[in-house]
Amino acid sequence: MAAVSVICRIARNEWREWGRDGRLSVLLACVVVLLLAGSVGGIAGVRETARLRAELTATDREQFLAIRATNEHEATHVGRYLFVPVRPLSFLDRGLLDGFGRFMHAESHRQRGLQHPVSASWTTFARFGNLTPDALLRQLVPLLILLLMAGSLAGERETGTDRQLFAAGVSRRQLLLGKAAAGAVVVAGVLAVIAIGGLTAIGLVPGTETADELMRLGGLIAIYAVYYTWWLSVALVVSSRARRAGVALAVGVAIWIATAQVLPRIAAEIASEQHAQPTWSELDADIRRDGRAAARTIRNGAIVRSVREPLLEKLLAEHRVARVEDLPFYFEGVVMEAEEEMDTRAIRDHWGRVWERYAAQESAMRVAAGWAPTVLVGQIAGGLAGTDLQHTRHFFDAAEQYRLTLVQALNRAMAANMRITGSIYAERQRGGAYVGDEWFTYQLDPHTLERIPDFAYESLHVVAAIAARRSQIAGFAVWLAVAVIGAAWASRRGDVV
Amino acid sequence: MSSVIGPLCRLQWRVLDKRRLAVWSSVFLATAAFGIYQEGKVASAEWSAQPAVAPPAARVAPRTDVRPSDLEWDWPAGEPSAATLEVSPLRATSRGQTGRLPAAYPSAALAPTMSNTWMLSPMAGVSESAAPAVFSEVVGRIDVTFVLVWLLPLVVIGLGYDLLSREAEDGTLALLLSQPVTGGHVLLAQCLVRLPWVLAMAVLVYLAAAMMHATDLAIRDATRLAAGCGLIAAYVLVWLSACALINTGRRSSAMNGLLLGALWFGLVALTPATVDLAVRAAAAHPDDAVADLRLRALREEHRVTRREGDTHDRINEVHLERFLEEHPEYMPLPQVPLVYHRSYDREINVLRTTLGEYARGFYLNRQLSALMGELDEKHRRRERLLDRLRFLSPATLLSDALDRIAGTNEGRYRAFHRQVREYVSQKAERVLPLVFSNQPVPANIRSMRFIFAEPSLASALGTACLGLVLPAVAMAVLAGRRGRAI
Repeated sequence: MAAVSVICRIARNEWREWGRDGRLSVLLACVVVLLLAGSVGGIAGVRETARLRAELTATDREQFLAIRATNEHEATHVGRYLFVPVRPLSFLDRGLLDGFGRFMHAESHRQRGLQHPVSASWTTFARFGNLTPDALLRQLVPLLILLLMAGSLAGERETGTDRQLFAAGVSRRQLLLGKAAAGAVVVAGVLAVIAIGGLTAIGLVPGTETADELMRLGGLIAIYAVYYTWWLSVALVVSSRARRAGVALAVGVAIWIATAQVLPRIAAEIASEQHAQPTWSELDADIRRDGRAAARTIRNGAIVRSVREPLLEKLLAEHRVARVEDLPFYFEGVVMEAEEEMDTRAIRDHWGRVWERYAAQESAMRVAAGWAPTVLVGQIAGGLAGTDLQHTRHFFDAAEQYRLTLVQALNRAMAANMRITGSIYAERQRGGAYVGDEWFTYQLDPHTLERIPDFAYESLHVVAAIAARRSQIAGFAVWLAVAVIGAAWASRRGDVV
Repeated sequence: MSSVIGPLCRLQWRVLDKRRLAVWSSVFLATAAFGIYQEGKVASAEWSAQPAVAPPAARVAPRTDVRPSDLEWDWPAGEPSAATLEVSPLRATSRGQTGRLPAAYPSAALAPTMSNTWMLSPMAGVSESAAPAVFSEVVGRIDVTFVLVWLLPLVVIGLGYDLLSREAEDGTLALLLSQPVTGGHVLLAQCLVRLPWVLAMAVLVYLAAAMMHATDLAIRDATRLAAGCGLIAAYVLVWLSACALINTGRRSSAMNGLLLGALWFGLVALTPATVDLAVRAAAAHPDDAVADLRLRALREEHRVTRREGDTHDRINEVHLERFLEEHPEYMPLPQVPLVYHRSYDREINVLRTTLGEYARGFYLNRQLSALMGELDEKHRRRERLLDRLRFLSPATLLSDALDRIAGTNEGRYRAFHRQVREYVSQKAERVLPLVFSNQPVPANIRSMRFIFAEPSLASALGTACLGLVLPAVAMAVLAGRRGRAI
């Protein structure tokens, strides 16, 4: 009990010391103002994005249902806009949200991925960092901890007050724990801001799954608590080993620059280069090459689709008719359906590789950064906020599945609704091959569009998100253990304090 | 003065903490080496991806014998090449806005007689060409400009946060001041000992980045490089003067370090981030989804003018009639013989079909132009704001200036976009009367090609230089005065 009281007294003294030279008030004011501004701005931004997306989704639906002067296949090219869901906790961690696009345009035989990323609107000054809460939490708060703590033990040593403390019966461990407790109060304040901000966002953003998001918020608070404990330990180790407060500060800032700033950037560059993605144009060309184009040849100047003839034979046999116009549906609609399947196979094959490369980049980034805590925390926090690679891919896969559903529903509707006469079939014979382009002038039935279901996306559950981040969590636990053991070791060394 | 400073400098050099110098220099040079290597590779790839500039005669074979009414007429008047923004030879020194803004438009977008305005949208082009390097985009990249603007001040602070305070803490300041020297002299000597080293490192890194990957530097590039070196020197002076000024406050080294750290954070991290945020908020980039949906609505609106049973040709014909009513100067259209067309499987009036296609595109373009004019205005406002707000911090000033020197600043991309659109409209003005009168397009018009006029840098670099030198001089003078009083 007495030991606890000594620790508390040391912590109080430390606070008094910070207050005396104005360090605490200036630094804390800076961090709190920035965090509050970032959080308020972030929450307002998330709400505005949610509002805009709801509005745009409604506009998209309205525009889609208003399609008139065209046929079902052209309607698939008008397509639907599918928006990346707005997560309330994305204000706390933007993750990869700004790097990937904000929506997907679902249309037939084309997949351009998520389009128009927020990062495209960044100015050149964004390269020096931004004021989002995640940047503040992962970079600024550790700097605050270092600036406050790095000189604490070294300062006592420099001024000789440590000897007075030891003479008064304070042990080295109590001194260290007292300093740590003073830092822990600052950390607790930051975590409280995260909690209040998170709860506000969950309450304010419409359409939020509250239980899931609360669990995510709890996870975020826990991971940041552990992250700051790591930085506290580092600051104390540095402070206990340095001869002067100034040197401790310089070393601490150097560690911060390396770990929180330079290393993640270098790692990201190396990872992007090691597993380079094709350009969008290359990807588009590959998909075109391996999709329906693979089954097309040019004969006498006309496109011959090799998928048609075997399909026609099969359908004629199935329906026991001799001519294409005698089939109980419009044959070209069925051909389009078959070709869409071919395109979809190519799309999923190539996009699958794109996502695998992203996953490899993420993993290479961890390795290149030497499993640096900032990188690990970034990946874990992104997972919890629902803005990481895994969530993005989950949305992409669901949206891609909807794209196929939409397109095939329209192709099937065309096959079922459209009828042409045998004479038109005869007229459209050119160059020895039937072209099958009469649907250009056909107009769809507006009710067909109303029967197409809207895109309903069910997000990844928090348990799955955490499970996918287990290696990062394990890696981070190792870092924490190393730092805490280092601090304990430093406190035992007689020549240190 | 020199009789005092000379021996003081020699003394300071002897007592300078060489280990600290070595550590900070190593951190700076190692990071810079990575930046030079990495960005150099990216820039080299961009240079090699640039289309080689062939002489006009080789690029386009002028066909003056073909008229719009002939089937062989290569509609739409054969633009010889795509418009590409040349990658500057100094590109490796700064990433800037590369990859974020369109640097090329396909030849189809430059044709003056198609419904292709959407291809010239400020948003088009990027999604077609940019490789999705999401991680480095989100985390941030390391290029030489980042190293110079962001890391260099930390090196200066690391070497100079305790110029006088260390002397005071060690008790050597009193000893020095017992000689016929003032605190100002000591400060000056301390700065003079550090300045050449830091300056040499910074300039060396900048020149290495520029020279290592560039193949052909012109005199203009050498001038720009010299300007860049000058600006970097001024930037170093700003930070060294700040160190000197803070050191005249008789605080502890730790407190000096803290204050300089806060100054660095405010000017190098906080101000650029705030400017970025302010620019994006005040001149919001149009939400692309909104623009896309509006574009789709316009296209659909255009499409529904089709009446039931109308064919594609009929729609074109309706548009052509409307166009000719609005432009009676093109009337009457020349009489041309009908020609058999395989796609139509009948004889058609090729000129009328061609003009109908143009007229349809004309009305769609007219609708789209309003939307794009709106986007352009937003971009202009953004540029103006960026141009003003860069003066808020030496970091934003230097970063912007180095981007301009490297040819990767936002203004250059926007100028490119505007010039391409201007070119297309000028070309249309010359081509359309010929097309409507069924004249062959002469070789000189057919071989017209887009040439980008580089915006002048002199004024922007001049103001940046002033913006850096003035605070550096002011702080140095103030530090000198306060130093003398110690």
